[in-house]
Amino acid sequence: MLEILERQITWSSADSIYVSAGSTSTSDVVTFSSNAIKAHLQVKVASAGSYNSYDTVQAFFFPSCGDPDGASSNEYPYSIVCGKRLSTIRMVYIASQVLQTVSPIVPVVSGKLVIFNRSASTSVLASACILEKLMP
Amino acid sequence: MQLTSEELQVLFSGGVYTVMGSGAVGFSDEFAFHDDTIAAYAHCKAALSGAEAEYTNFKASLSIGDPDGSSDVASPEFPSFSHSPLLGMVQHTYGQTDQFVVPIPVAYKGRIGVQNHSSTYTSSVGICIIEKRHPRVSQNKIEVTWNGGSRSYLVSGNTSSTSDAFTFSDNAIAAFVGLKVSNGGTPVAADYVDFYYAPTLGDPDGSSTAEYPAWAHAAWVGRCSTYASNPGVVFAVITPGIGGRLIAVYNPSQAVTISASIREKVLS
Repeated sequence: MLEILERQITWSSADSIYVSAGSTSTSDVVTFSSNAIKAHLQVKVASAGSYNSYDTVQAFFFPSCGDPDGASSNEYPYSIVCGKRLSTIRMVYIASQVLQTVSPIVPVVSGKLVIFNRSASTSVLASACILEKLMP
Repeated sequence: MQLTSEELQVLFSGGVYTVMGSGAVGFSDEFAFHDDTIAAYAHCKAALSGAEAEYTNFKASLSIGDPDGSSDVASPEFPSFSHSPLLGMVQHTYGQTDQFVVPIPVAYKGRIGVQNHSSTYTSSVGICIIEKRHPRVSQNKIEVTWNGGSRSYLVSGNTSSTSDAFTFSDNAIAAFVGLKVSNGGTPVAADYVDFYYAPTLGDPDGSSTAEYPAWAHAAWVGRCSTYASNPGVVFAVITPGIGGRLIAVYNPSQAVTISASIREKVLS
């Protein structure tokens, strides 16, 4: 029977992070269970003010299988071009809104979550958790 | 007993990375998946030696072993670069070094094809793979036969051939097929064979034995062009039902020999 395990994504050990307008924030590294067979990531964003129409917040997952070229420790994609885009959350023109998405991710060795706040003027409070399905 | 993760370093001539010259195309060393691997992910990294809006391609050249014989260990056969599906690319437009992770089918053996599209700079390439292994999983080879038991089948003319029916193990959870076409003459551009998978789940209407889709309703699994490489070898993922047949539709200018084998992952 499969088991489940919830993991909190953290930013410098905090459970959430304010991402200012037009900037990105990368989470701490999360390490998967060795016997994880599937995993999903839930992202929650709460606006700290009113967004303009078409403002979006994007979530990217940067996975690592380890060290591809033997040069150092675990390595991760450098840019969002090579990361896996999980979701693009459109922040409609409503103050203090909270939006969430759930996306499948690859349960390899470890990974990082990157939040890209594409708003020009409003910061966002981001948080996330991972649910692993473990195969005994 | 439980699922475990294991890192497999992909080597290039024995080294953990290689430097691809400008415009170069090459392959990694061969590597073998464990029999008990049920999922795998490839991590591909490329670093261009200078700033240029170009990219480095990675392709999966996967093998089920020997499609037309039993020399799986000594003579596995791999798709050529042109017959290998794209895993992904590192776009150097946004940075000279980047990397990505992508699921990769669990074959019998494999190698990774790399192409440096830069005409100016070298690309340093490294790859590792994570295998998810479970001790209750093993693999089994199914040799597809044609025309009543032949491992290889010589065909000619603009027509098609259907393999003998094959049967999966009851506890099969995944399956992969290797397809091979050998052209005895000098191939021309239109010399290719399309392969289709006609699976069966049994008898839909209770009127007879297992029934199979005809070519028009079968699933296309791959095209072997002997012009691109002779012999042409293609790898594809198929769904293990009860069993199936392969249908080869060919249009070569001369006779070709077709063959195929399947690897199934079984859970005990």
